[in-house]
Amino acid sequence: MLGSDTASHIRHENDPDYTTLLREIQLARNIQRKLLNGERPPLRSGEISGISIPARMIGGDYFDFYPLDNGKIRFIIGDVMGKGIPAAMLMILTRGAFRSAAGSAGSPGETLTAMNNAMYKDLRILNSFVTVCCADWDPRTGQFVYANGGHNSPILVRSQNRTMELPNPKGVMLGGLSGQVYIENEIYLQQDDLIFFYTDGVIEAQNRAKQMYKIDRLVPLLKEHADKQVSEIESIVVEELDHYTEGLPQRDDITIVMLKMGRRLKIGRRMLECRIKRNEDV
Amino acid sequence: MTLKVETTIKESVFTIILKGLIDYSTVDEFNSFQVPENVSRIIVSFKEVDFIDSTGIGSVLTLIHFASDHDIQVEFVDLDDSTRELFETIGVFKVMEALLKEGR
Repeated sequence: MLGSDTASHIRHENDPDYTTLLREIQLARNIQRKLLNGERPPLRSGEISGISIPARMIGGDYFDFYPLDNGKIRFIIGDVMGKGIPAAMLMILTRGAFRSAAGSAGSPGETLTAMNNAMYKDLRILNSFVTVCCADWDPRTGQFVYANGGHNSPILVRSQNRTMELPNPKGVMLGGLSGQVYIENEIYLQQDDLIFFYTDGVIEAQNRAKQMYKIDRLVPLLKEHADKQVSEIESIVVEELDHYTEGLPQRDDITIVMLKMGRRLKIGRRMLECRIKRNEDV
Repeated sequence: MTLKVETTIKESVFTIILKGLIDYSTVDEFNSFQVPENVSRIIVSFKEVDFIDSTGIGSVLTLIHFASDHDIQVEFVDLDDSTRELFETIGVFKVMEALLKEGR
């Protein structure tokens, strides 16, 4: 058995078409890594992070940050249906739609509407879809507005160690229905509050007993380490998933985006406190 | 793990029973059946589905759009809590509601 596998491998390595294909996949992987690991917007206060670990050489998960002229940061996390090269191609389509919409749309909901309008026909032809969560964060005031297109809700860890899954505005995935309007939710973050965005690969990671990691394990982990810097929390979650899956091959792309609120500006604090109070039920 | 797809037709009702794993590796099996002509209703049973991933949901979505194009009603039955929650999060039920109730 081993002999036949080895022979097959050698035959492939000597095949020029195979070598070309492998090289092209490697180049595609480099393109994806560079696009995902682009420049992070500079922050005067607070922290942001993002990581994507594909299950195969390239993946279909996507995250991006887009600094707006008004000082806010618009960002997105997405999961394209499927895996590997086909998903990666659609991920690039999603990135183009986001980059194009983010500069002109007035809000996260409008961004998703514009993306869905741009991508709907293509996604239907390809029998595919993309789940996305888009948010605007103002690091100066803590204002956080988000809209959801079929994606998991982000997890909020309040600095007082209170965790919760943010209410899901439950919009339809991109490519599901044409002409969608995406509802937005708004909250105000306090100093050291953490927001954790993730894709399915995190909570569906399986151990040898085929048990999924699930959100029930993720939330206490975040609660325990929420006081650390986002880069540290990122490493802790990735290591925890690696430990949980006991060295088994990764089944799905894993993507994590985090933001942590720093000190708010003192200007307009009174007005801000009133708005926070109004959103206290979130 | 594999996916087994069993289909039956009784009068104008086409029933699809899914058994096993619906993911990237097995979804071709799900996409392989043909909906017979003169069907007015499709029932899909998820009772014996162990897990469904986004690729599987893509096939479910394609079935909904097919049914909408051919004026066929679709019903999903025997969904467990996690599958139902997944369908709700992604928006499968909203797509069904918008496409399959219009004009009926």
